[in-house]
Amino acid sequence: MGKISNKGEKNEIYYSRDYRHLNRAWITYLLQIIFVLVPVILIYLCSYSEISYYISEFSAGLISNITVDTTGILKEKYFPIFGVIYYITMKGKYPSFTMAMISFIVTLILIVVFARINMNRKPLMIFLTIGLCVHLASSLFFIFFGNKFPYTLDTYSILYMKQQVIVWLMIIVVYWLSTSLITHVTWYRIISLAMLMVLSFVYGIVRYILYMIIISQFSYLFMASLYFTFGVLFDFLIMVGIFSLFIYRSGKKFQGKKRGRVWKWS
Amino acid sequence: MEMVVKILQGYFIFSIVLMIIYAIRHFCFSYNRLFAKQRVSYRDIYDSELPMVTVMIPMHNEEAVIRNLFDSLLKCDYDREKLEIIAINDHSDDKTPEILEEYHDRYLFIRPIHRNGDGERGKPAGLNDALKVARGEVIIVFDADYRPSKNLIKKLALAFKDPKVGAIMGRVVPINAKKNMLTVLLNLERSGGYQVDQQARFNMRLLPQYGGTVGGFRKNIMLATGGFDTKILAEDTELTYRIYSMGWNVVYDNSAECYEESPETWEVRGKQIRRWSRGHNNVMFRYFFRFLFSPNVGFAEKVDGTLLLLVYVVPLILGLAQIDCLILFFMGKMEIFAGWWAILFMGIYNTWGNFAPFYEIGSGAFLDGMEKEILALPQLCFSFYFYMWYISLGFFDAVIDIITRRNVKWAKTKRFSNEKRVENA
Amino acid sequence: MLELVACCIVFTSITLFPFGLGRFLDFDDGVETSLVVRSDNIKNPRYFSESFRRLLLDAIEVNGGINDRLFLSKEERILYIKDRRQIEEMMDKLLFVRIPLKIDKKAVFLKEVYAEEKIVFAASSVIRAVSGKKEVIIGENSVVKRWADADELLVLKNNCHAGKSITSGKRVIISSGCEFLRIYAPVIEISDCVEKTDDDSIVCEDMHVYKKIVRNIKSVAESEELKNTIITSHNLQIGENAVVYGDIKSTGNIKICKNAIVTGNVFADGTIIIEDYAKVFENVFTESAIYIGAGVEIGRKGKIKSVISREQMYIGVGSRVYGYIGTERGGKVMNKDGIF
Repeated sequence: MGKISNKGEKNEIYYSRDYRHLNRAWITYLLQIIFVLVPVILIYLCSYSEISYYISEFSAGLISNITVDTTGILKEKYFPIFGVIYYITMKGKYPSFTMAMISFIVTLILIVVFARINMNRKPLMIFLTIGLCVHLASSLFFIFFGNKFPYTLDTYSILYMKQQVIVWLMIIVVYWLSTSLITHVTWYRIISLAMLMVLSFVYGIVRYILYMIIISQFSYLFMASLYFTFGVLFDFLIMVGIFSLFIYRSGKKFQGKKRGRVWKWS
Repeated sequence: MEMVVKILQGYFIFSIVLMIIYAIRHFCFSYNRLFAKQRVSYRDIYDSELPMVTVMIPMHNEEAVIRNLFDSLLKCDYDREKLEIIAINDHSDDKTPEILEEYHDRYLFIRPIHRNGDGERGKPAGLNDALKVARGEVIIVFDADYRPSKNLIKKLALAFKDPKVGAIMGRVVPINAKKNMLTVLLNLERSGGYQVDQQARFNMRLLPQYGGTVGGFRKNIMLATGGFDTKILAEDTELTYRIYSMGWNVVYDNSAECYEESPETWEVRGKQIRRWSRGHNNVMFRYFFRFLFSPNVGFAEKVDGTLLLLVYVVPLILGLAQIDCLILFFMGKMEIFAGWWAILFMGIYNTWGNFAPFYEIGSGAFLDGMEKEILALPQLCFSFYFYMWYISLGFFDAVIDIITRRNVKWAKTKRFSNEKRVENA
Repeated sequence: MLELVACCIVFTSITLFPFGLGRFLDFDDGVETSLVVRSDNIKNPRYFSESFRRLLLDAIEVNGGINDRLFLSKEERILYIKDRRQIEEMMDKLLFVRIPLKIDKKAVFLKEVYAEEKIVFAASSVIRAVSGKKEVIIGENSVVKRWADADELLVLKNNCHAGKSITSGKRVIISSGCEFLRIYAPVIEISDCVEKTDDDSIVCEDMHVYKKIVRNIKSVAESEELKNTIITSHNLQIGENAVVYGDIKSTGNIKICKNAIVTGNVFADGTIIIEDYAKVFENVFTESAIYIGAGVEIGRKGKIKSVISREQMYIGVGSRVYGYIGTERGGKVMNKDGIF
């Protein structure tokens, strides 16, 4: 019959959102996990030791410039096969009874105030209230148990570093798996993952420096809230931010695609 | 003391395992929705013999919106001989009764029921009264502010040609999605919940949920089991589990869309969530074992149904896990759990990021073509704490309901619409 | 000090960066909803033809008559056919045919054809779309690229490809070897005899559909009569000459053997096989494939019922469907020996 000319063909009608889906890519998906994700994880695990060393070295240098305290670098075993983890060692300080008491009262007042203000910012207020409750618990602890606080600044430092190693590992895994839901185009995801890791590393380092300074200058009173309230949440927030940018870009790219190439119906 | 520490650590690990289970579940849903063959509902069927349908509309002081609903229903393409509309006026003190009578005078198939006595108030009680007089074999429930499209009733009714279908659920689309940041976030949640979660559960033959509106059910199922339980706020969830336990199933139609209004303030949203949590947990207390041991439910349905029942308990479990962590921290036991805390938190954020994890919401927004709205996704981070708070309160409300056997007091979600917005839809 | 300030700035910027993304949303663009729900949508199996006719006839009316150019959804060149000798091998204009037309040589019609009288296309034609007010006959080995519709009779002879949909207001006859996706007509005949036939469908005396449910059975014996609706999670077989006065739903496969009758709907998650001369008086629907033998009847005269498969469909000659046939992966008409 011969090939029919496309002259006069109407424009493509795009699939409606009800039942459209993407071309199945599970083989590519699995291959990428085996040949991209797993090697990246292994490389990361093999190099977290060096990463922690350079972070500690850089941060220690910066802290020494900012404060007059002496800093050093220690190491501790972490994952059995993959090596030690380095962290900063510094002198911390305990809060006085007065400081703990003042902290308790101020925190209590703030909790009452936050519970009552600004209904349009309710989620933020609840989040801050929970953070204040953590700080309240910390203040109470120091009021009643004073010097029985089980951690030193060194312990916080190693806690932080261990947490960050896991966080960065999880970010790689979760981000890769999440973005694979949208596209198996590798380079696009690698670039955004690289962006995310750079942001996350920089953030991790800067936060490490700031939190170590806060605890060393203002006492262990703040350790709990810095660890729980202002910790891991913001790492994942950055990941979700980059993910949303990724979806935004992918969406713009894919919405106009003709059916069969990207979208399938039912 | 050692025992206490062991319990705390055990609870910590239990929470992580639970989060991982939910994370995997939602990831499977997202993957299925994005890549697998989609199960289309029965809307492609052409049939000249449609079932008799009763549309029930519970209403309380809805003078601002009901004309639009009736006008939409009058335009629908369902055979008028096979359609009746029962408007349930529940103790309204505005012009709602007059408007209903006005429409009844013009259209005999619109029948109002006026509930003004001392009897039980609320949606389930009203629906029960209407069930007694309904002629339809299929009951479709709409909220008063909805604007159903012309073919929506037909789409919903056709599903009941399948003898195993006990109920059908359509998709609600927020009409005020861009009103403010809250409505944007709710729109994203809805997108993840319907476009991905419900559809995936339908694809995988799990447990799509009947949502109480933009949906329908077989009248004989309700009549055979005594009607709606007026002591439960979440009558829709209760119906879902009742249907599955009796050997029927629920169908989800992703194309049967209808506009609804989302709450526009956090205060209203908080009350709504607390009510949902209370109702859902009431259902959980009643159906947990009944559903688990039902001979009419398959294994996969049981697993999914159980996880669904626990959805409004999980935030409390997570909240307690965080307190648990804090106690472990002050006891000096946090060192070995430093990394685990990150996993728990990751699990919390991924799995229980507000009814759907971020990748599920992202997938839903992507499928819906909402590229720009997805940029608001990070804003959901704090609403996770908001939900944790109100859902936990709802859980305690449900516990008190069980212990004290108190009657529930019905409250309507505050409406923000005006006629102009609804007209423009 | 500078380092401290720099750290604070970097820390604050990265912390606030995810929240800043949401600020790009425009709440003042006058549009409140981000997802449009079409409120006036009605499902019409003959939508393509009716929509095309409306556009064409409105354009003619606006123009005060037929010109060689009309504006439909865009400007189209029109050819008004008065004589079959105007038909060439390649027709790249929209055809408006007012006379009975029999095209005796194969041709390629790149644009739609509108015919107010009977139109017959030669074998091996390629037709983008055709809308006929009377009868449309399409010769063997032809291809319909998009749709074909006729108010009275639409015939597809052997080995045609039926495009996206073929519809008729009264009757469609489709012959062996034809491939299809969607067919709609009050009477759809699968037949190699393309002359109109009398409707000799047998009416079952008792066509009642009993709603009392029997669950989880695997078969109905030969010649048995069952006055129940069946819901089963097993594969189900309805034996030869059996009658089920009810609906059937299986999450497995369903096989309806020769001469069996089902008065209700047949729904399955798996494959549905309907052997020769069996009858189903309501809808047939599956997520999988459907195999329909010869002489099968689905639906009842005067009613519209559907046969829908989400996978392939094969249907034998001599069968009849009253209403709608739909398949997602493609259907084919098999000759007499082709199915079982």
